[in-house]
Formats: sequence, structure tokens, C-alpha cells
Amino acid sequence: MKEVILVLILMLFILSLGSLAAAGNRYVRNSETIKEEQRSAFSVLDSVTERMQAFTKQDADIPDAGILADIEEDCSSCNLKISDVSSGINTRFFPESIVADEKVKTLVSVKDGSSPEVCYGWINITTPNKAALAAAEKSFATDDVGKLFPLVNTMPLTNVYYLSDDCLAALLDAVSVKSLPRRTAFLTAVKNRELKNSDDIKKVLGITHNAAALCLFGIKTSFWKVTFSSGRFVITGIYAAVPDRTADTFAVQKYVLVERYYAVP
Amino acid sequence: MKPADDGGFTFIESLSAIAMTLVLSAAVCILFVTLLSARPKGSSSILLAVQLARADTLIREKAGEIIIPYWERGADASAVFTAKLLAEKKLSTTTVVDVENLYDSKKRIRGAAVDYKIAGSPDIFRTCALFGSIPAAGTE
Repeated sequence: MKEVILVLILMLFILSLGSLAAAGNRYVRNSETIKEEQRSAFSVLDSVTERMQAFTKQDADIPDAGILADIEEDCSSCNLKISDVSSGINTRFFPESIVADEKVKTLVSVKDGSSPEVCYGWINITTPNKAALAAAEKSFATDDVGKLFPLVNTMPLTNVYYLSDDCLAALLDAVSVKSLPRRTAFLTAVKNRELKNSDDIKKVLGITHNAAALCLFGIKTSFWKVTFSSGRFVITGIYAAVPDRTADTFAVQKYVLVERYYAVP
Repeated sequence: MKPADDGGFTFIESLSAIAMTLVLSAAVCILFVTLLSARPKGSSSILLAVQLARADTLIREKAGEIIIPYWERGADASAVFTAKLLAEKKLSTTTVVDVENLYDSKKRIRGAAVDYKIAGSPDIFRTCALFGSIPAAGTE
């Protein structure tokens, strides 16, 4: 009888140790699997980064058209979505004169979620926000603006194709484009997607020297947000357009990933 | 009267059976004692592996949540990250020993290396984790 009890206790020990080992092993293996899945999700992000370079070839970034539509269609299996996150009112980087404009202030203060305020963007070298520029110089411990590239560059602050009508109107007021026919022509050209380069903007607005307007309105997006799913992860990447410093006319040299997030829904 | 040649065991057979039983019992006893003494060590090794996996995952998660704005250099990133780690209740059995910045070839801050101890182990472990942001400014 004693032997039977002894054997039973022994088996119980073996079983408990075995199950503990199995549970522990499973937990560690699960952690490894999650890490592996995350790694593979980020490798998909690398291939998205490669695809994003195609945007450098197009002169104008137009919603639901061109490269954007092609990439979204090619990657529809992973539910890839690309959106502009820099065309709007950036209170941090827009010149003080625009941020201080009453209509712009009113638009930004809307709290129902329709505010056109954005948090991504570059500092325009011609019309910089002086406080933001000073803060950047302090943070990077340099007073040489050239060393702050690409944070400080020549790219127009917004892509007009991604601005709402209200926002466009407020910004036109803020940069003193007052002629009604010009404004109407501009809004119509944006609506009909007729603006193909910066010369078109100058022509339609009838401006040659209004630096504020030329630095504010562009047809290239400076920051894209890309969201897609890979395995159990939903990956978000923020891509920034880095302008070509060597080109005579404005061009984007490349798109770089500046932020990446992963989440398990 | 017929001789009983098919009943019982011979002396040698009985002796062998007793010897085998003794050997087997001894083996079982040794196994039992070994198992008893090895159990705490085995359990703690498994628990350590689990705690280590958990700490590694959490450190990576917390690092992924650190976003240095592209308009800043992020000099205080590891301090923010350390504070976040220390506030994490799930890391109660882990003691952070040291946190140091990880830089890429362009000297841009990309993540942090965390040295930590797990309760019950004298060893110091290290996890190198990347932040959620990739600095773009002031580098080119």
C-alpha cells in the first residue's frame, strides 16, 4: 500500500513539474511568436517604405488618384490606407501672422472634431515660425539653419488638394489674396484638380511676389500616414517627404519613415 | 505420491525477485529524492524564463510608445523612458539597473538598452529596444 501511495505522489510531482514546464515553455514560445510576427509586420513596413518612393515621381499628390490609388489597390489584401496628415493648419510651424489671423483662429478652435489643425509639417525657410525655428536651433544646438534640414526646407506648408473649402478660404484671407475672381478661379482649379505644378498656382492666384502664399500653398503632401494590417497587428507609419536640396525647382528626393506604431486591435 | 515440480519458486528465483525489487525500490527512492530536491530549482528556472520573457516584451512595448518628435533631438528620451518603466506595475519583480541611449550610425537616437535584474536571480539581463520614432531632422 505504501509503495502505491509513494508511486502516486511521485507521479503527481512529475505531472505538476511537467505541466509547469509546459505552461512556461508555452508562454516563452508565445512571446517569441509575437516578436516574430512584429518583426515580419515591420518588414512589410520596409516594403511599404520602398513603394512610397514612387510618390517622388509625381508632381502633384491628388486624393484617390495616381500613385496613392495604385499602392492602395496593390496592397488591398492588407487593408492599406494612405492619408495626408500635414495639410491643414499647423499652429506650431505656420508663420505667426497666419496663426494669429482671426478666421484661422476660429477654425482651429472648433472642438467638434472638424478642426483642420494638423500636427505634422516642416518649417518653411522663407516664412518660418520664429518660435519653432528658435526651439529647433536650441534643441539641435546649432544656429546654422542649413544643418536643420530637412526640418527646415523650402516645401510649401500644405497640399491644397487636401484642404477643406473653409480652410482654403481662411488661408487665402490670411495671406491677403483678396481678389474675388482670383479666389474663385483658385477654388475651382483645386476642385477640378487642374493645378499640376507651382507655376499653375502662381498663375491662377496672379501672384509673383507674395512669399506667404507661395510658401503656404503647394500640391505635394509633406507627411503621409500609412495604416495596414499584418497578422494580428495593425501597423501605422508616418512618412515625411524630404525635398531635393540640389534640384533647381522644387522636388521631393525621398520619403522617410519618421514614426511607426503597432497595435493589436 | 507425485513430486510437486510445478508449484512455487526455487530459492534462486525468490532471491532474484527480492534483489530486483530492492534495486527497483532504491531506484524509485533515488528518483523521488532527486525530483524533490530538483523541483524548486526547476520551477524557479521556468518562472525566471517566464518573467524574463514578460519583462523583455514589456520593455519593448514601452520603448515602442516613446515618440521623439521629429523637430526635437530627444536628449531626454531615455529619462522619459526610464520613468515610464519605473511606473509600470507589471514590472514589479524587475529592477531596472541602467538605461542607456542607442544611436544609429548618424548619431541619431533610436532606442534604449535596458539592464535589469529579475527577483530571485543574481544575473543582470539586457534588452535593446527601439523607440517608435525615427529622427528625420538635423541629420543630413
